Amino acid sequence: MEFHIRCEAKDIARYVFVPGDHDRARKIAAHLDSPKLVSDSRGYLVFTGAIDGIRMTVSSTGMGGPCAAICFEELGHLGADTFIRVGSCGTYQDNVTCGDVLISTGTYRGAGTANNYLPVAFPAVPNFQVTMVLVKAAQKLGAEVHVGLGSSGDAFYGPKDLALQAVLKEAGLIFREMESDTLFILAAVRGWRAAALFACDGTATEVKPAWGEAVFRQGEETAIRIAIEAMKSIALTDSRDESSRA
Amino acid sequence: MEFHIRCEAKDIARYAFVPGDHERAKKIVDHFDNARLVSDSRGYLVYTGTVDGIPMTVSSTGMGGPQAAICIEELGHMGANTFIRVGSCGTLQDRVPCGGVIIPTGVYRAGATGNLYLPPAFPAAPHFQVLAALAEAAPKLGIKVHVGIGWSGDAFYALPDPQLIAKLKEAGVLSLEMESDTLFIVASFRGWRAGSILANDGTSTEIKPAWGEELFRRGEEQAIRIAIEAMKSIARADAQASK
Repeated sequence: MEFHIRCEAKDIARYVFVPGDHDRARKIAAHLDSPKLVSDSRGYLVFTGAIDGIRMTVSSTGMGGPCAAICFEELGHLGADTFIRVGSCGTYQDNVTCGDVLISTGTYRGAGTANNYLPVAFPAVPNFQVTMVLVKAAQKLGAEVHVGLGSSGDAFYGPKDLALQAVLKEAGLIFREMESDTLFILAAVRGWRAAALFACDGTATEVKPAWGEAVFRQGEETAIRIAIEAMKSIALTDSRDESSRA
Repeated sequence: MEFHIRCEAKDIARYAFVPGDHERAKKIVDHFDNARLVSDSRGYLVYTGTVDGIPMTVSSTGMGGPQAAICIEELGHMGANTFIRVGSCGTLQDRVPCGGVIIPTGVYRAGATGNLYLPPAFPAAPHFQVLAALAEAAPKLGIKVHVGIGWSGDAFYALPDPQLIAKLKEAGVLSLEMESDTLFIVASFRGWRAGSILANDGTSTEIKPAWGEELFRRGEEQAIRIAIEAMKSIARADAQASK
């Protein structure tokens, strides 16, 4: 029994979705066949079910590196090794708006938790295979996505360093959120596969505007569908690889 | 006329290969049609020619961040915006043999030049389109590659910190070399596309062993072929997109 997620290895699948938001965890679980609530402790809402016969788990991570890291570590203890974060984000870029879907190819380490694992010089980048599969899943579903770099930080309401923000915008960062740096660094340390995609709930000048809520929800649903399609394809490739080895 | 690469915009293609080694620049240009030497100054050996009718340039960068950054910047001033580094590297992983080909998906920023552009927290990651083109060109040519995280640093002969090295090995770091961090950071900063492909000339316990030389040369030629195939596919996608 893990300290915080309060469940056991038999309850957790190898393939895991890790949204920040509890409500998004429920939305993802709604796509699973016969989802079972396996834990609800410390804000980790954990469901396990199946899609096309493949066992999958979804767990909310909560917001920020510290609680996300505990979530990833304990899921890993229980046998998870493939993680897709389905998050929400804001944006730096004028060509990204509410409801757009973004896929990370690397994340600025503006947050602190991962520094406890690896120095800040270590790149917070996703697994290539999982990222490529996300991009292809989006194409297959006819969903337009932005693919590129973004940033993670620890303080949603912290004061903004405007000069740095301008540099990061100029350098092309597309998303801003709070957990993908921790996910990517932990995955490197532990030898897991991880990737992240987000639905944007803001614009370059607005934080979560009310007018964007409905389009954000559409983007969120699109991100969930892309993530599920991608996870199915990864599981299929894994089982092919395993049977060719056998 | 640029300060260090002594040539002009008409001499430089949009698609540029940037190996460290001058000899490797010559090997890449062997794959070009109608190649001509456009500059040989400050150690930047620059050729321009075509591959399947697509104009391409190759320039040696020399070793280390400072001169690699000058090279990429001046090529960029003259219109280059898509860069593939074809380099050599060592490795931390026991499973990567001499001659193994590595495609970095991001590199540890132990080099300092990139810090003058963007803070160390900024990920030194290749452009996804270039990364994907390299990773997809390899199986097309029937070549097995290792795809994952790498490390770039400034001091080939400095004493490594054994504790950090052990940590990085554990974290799966594949390649050790000296220029990809600078390339990825300068490219992000300028809005260019960049990727790297590396041939391994060592093992996790040996630096450039003599017995590995021939295997390395074979890997180097494979890396060149993958890079050219990838660049062609990027150029074709660009042509498609501009239609």
